[in-house]
Amino acid sequence: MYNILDTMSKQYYSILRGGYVSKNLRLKSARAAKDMSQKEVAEAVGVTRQTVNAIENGDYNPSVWLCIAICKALNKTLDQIFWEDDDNA
Amino acid sequence: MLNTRNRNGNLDEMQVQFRNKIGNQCFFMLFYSLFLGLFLKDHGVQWADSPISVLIIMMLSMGYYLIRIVSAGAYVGTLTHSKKNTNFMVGLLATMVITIGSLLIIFRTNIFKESFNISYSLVSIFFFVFIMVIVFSKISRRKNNQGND
Repeated sequence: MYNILDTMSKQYYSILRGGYVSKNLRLKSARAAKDMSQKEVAEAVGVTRQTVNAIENGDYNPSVWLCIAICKALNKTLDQIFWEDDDNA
Repeated sequence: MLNTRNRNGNLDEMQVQFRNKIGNQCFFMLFYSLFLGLFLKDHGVQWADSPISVLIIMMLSMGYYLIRIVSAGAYVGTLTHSKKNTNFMVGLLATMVITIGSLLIIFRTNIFKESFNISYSLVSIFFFVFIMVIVFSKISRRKNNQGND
């Protein structure tokens, strides 16, 4: 019972913070594959390092424009980094 | 690069969202604090004279807003190095002019007592604002752009 309530409260808190988003490990791996730091990606895209960090940790849900800019900076497609389905979650 | 800087200064989209959220909270905090002040005054509780109490509530709300946006990393945004210093100095100058102008208006309207040393307090507040702006900018810029991946 306690675990259910704990999970519900965490999800409710995440929704309040802007939506329940899981960690984006594919962004992190794509960035590592290009040997770029968060700061370099942030400068290439035109945002702060804090924003890139929040996207990777699932604390922030970026706009489509920011997603496209990140994909262009990393030479990836939106599907490869941001699309989620059963096989690619 | 994203073309969001014209509308929102140099803040990115997450910083703008944080600012909006914190701004809304501070607005309601200010709104209810002023209402509470009026309510208490009607019921015999008067902790300060009317203009000063409003001024103190406004200053507290503004201070809370400033601390929250600095802690959220939404005080300064991303800028190229060539623009950074120019914009910072213009912002600093504008802040000081507005602060001193506001204080002059307050002092001219005799809100405070006559015995208050105006020139000394103005210079003190001038330097206090100057130092605080520099400190907050440094903290926020470091919070935004440094750290480990």
